[in-house]
Amino acid sequence: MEQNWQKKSDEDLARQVQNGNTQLFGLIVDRYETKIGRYAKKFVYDQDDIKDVLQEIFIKAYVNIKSFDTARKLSPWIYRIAHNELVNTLRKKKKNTLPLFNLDTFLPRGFSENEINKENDHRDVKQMINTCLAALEPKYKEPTILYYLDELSYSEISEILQIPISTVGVRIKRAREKMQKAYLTQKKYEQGK
Amino acid sequence: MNKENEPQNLSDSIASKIKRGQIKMRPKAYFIAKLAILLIGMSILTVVTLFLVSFILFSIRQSGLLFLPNFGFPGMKILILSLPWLLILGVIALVITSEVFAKHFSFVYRQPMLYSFLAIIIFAILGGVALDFTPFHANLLTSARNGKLPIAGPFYREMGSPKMKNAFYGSIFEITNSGFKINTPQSDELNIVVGPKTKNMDSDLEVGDSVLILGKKINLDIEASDIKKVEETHGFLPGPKFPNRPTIKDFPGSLRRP
Repeated sequence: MEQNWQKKSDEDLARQVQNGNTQLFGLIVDRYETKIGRYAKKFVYDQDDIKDVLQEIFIKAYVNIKSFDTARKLSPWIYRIAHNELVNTLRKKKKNTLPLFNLDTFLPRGFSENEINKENDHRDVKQMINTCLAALEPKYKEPTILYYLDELSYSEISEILQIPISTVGVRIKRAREKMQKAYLTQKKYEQGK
Repeated sequence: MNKENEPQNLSDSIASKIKRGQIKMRPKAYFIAKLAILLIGMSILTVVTLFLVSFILFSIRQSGLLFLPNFGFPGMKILILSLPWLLILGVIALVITSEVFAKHFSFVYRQPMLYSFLAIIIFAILGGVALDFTPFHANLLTSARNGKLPIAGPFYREMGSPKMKNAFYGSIFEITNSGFKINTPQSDELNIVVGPKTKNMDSDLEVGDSVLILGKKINLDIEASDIKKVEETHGFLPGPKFPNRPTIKDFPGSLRRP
């Protein structure tokens, strides 16, 4: 029986959970635990805190699952819950918080996902992310992780962060520039040693 | 269940909590009610915003503020000082609140905020102008003055035709030896004194004319420095005339030049 469900889409599983087949929620947790955990680890560093945050995210997803529209994709919906939970956690800890409002969401900007060479860009940036992510402010860090590590689209990131699609593009572009700068500085430093 | 018996795996741990009834799904009705509250809240915001914008336009027209730019810089200064700033700030707060509410919808947050702000502002202005075209506020102001508007009455009497600082607007109903008398939109009678301090005055003033006067109030007299005849249909948009306005038929006679 479970074998069949393994092949079903996230949205089908969510529909089943909504209809009362609650044990299938475990499958949703299994599918997203690693991804959401990796996302959370970039903001919360204490292992126990990460565990608590993950637990809270999936509990909230279960409690609110009937608000999910199964005609849409499940991943942005779960990531949105994770984003909100991380904002709350960081605020409680009074850490450098994820912004609630930013001026860059106000003005229109011309930027589309097609402007970048996805394959080359992903390979280059993934290399930099491992060493330079700490150099980024949370508002740049978040879309960068979602785009390069979790491989979500601009549209999905826009849905998760509830910011304009063009702002997602601009933030990712700036993050790439900042990381490139930090990467080069670090390389120069290493060569000088 | 003690800590040792708790499952280590996250999905098992959550499944166990679901099984034990420690976490429960919220029913669909909860989310429908939440959406309904949001929509009702937005509808109330829209109605209040349109009411306030149209009321500001009405009170600006009613008080004669629109004609102040005719007096140049001194008129502009009085206009800025006399604008109903409290109401304008209220509208700004409502527009910001509307933006916060609208951000719950993906078609709003996926676009730059500037677009949604502009859309809300344009809607509020156009809706306010459209409502100002109707006799809605004039009727309510008349009811308020006649004591037939119990709750909104004081608001209409106080804010419906605000007084300007050192500027007076009204309709001439009597010519006197020292000048003339006007009926103001607040239903006050003012005695306008035309004398050596009067620098500019339109020459063809008659009973029934609407006039705007710059000057100082000394007791019940206004020592006029500038007097301009104004067309009530002139300006931003024509609208209902202020109630109880005397016409030439009520006060036959002509105005003598001082």
